[in-house]
Amino acid sequence: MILHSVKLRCSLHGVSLPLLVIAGLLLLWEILVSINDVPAGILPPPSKIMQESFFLREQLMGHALTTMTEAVVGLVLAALLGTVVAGALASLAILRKALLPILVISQNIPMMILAPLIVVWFGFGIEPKIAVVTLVCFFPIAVSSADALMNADKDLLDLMKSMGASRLQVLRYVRIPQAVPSFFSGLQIAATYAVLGAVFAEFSGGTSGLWIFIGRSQRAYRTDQVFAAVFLIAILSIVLFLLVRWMAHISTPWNRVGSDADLREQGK
Amino acid sequence: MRLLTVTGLAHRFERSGVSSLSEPIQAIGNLDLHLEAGEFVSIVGPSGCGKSTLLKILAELIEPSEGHISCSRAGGSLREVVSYMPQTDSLLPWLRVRQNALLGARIAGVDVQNAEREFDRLTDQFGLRGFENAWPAQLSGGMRQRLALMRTFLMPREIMLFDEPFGSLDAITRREMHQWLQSVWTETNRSGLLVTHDVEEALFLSDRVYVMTGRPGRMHDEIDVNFVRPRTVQLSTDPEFVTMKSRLLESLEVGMTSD
Ligand SMILES: Nc1ncnc2c1ncn2[C@@H]1O[C@H](COP(=O)(O)OP(=O)(O)OP(=O)(O)O)[C@@H](O)[C@H]1O
Ligand SMILES: [Mg+2]
Repeated sequence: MILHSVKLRCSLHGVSLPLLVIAGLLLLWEILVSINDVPAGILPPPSKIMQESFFLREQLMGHALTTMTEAVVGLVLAALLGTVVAGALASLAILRKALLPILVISQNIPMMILAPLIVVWFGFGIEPKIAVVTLVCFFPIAVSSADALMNADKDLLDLMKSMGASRLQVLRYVRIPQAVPSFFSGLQIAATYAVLGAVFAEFSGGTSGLWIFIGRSQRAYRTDQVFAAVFLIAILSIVLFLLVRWMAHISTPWNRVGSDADLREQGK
Repeated sequence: MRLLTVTGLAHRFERSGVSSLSEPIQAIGNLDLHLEAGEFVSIVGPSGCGKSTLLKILAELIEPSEGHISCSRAGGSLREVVSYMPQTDSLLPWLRVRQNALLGARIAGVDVQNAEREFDRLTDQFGLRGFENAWPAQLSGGMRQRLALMRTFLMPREIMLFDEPFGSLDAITRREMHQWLQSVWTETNRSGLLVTHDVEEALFLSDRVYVMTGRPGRMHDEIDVNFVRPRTVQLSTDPEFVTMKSRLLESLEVGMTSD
């Protein structure tokens, strides 16, 4: 019973509190805009934005679906590419020396420059956007995973060695499981870039996507629609981030011991 | 029959890893040791005298700078004869109790089914019944050490090396574990080499006890312990036991200051 109320309080802090803060800010915004008589073309009140979002829901959903597809596919590809690169970096010192500087430099090229180039190479479809997202996202995944793969616990490595474990067994029993949490923290960082990366990529053209929608709305002086798209981008980012967190939670059950779900699993 | 003979063993750590302390550390200097088949031998020594280093050398984790190790069983590698329990319990956090216990057997690629049967048979004795599917993080310190011990037992090796297996236990649990290890021990025909700070533990469990000097460690004294088995808690008040204990303590003290 006590445990239950503690849990309830935790979830209040975890989810309800930020929601409450956001609701408060929106309310403040609504009030300030209405008492100062700000024209809707400059700063529309949240009520107007939501009304507009609802009104345009089908159109918005279509654009959001495009952007989300770019972000998710890009992120998944980045996870795959990041894992491969991490494995290569961790296992071959030569590759590490040769590739790491290039990787770091690649991260310092602004997306604004890269995006149009990639469009020139890949065209106006969804592929160039996915490529941009992958490029933005794979770096944190590769670096944090490679680090974790290389810095396995010395005592555990010694134990495996004393048992006569092969390199493959060491990888399977120690290095990989130990790197899982780091992989996911890299993926979490990447997830926060993914939606934004997709929106940036749309900068360079196309027919569908939230940035395309924003561009059109802007040209029509529909600031309320611009805000509707911006809200949607924020929501999509959060959803993706929470999804990755949940995956991390699921795939490292040994890190969440003590939760009663785990004890139940054991039939205790 | 002589199983293991170590002569003139010495080890220097060339780089201490800390840059300001980059002069080499002589951990072990000219150490001799032997182990008979079926024998349980303890090594007591002050902290930092090279006990863990010695066991790591025997487990082939460290290449000694000097000395000769011969084993009457090993064809090529000592590793095929030795199972090693490190000073830290070194459980894999991502494996459940059962999988941790079976790790050695699995890696060694021996009859895993047999090891599984052994696990089921021994869970009560090792006090792990009901926790077969727990994660290591859910175990108490004592349970973690018993699990590490069990893993060492389930490796099909003739010599077991224990590095302070009961180091983190309270006195009462420690005594229980001594009783228990002894009873488990009588069932096996394997040999054991145990490293410890605890003189009483060494006397209670062993057929023979070595005393090491301070760093660089070498053998300073050796005592045969011939009390009949099974030994009971009352042994610790036996006059002969008490005499031996004070001799070992004295040896330890002399060994520490003699360098
Ligand atoms: N990897 C290493 N590199 C450099 N020096 C080391 C290394 N391992 C141990 N030493 C040094 O060797 C000496 C012996 O260490 P060892 O761990 O064998 O001692 P020990 O007898 O097991 O001590 P304790 O009883 O505290 O566990 C110590 O002075 C230690 O600093
Ligand atoms: Mg030690």
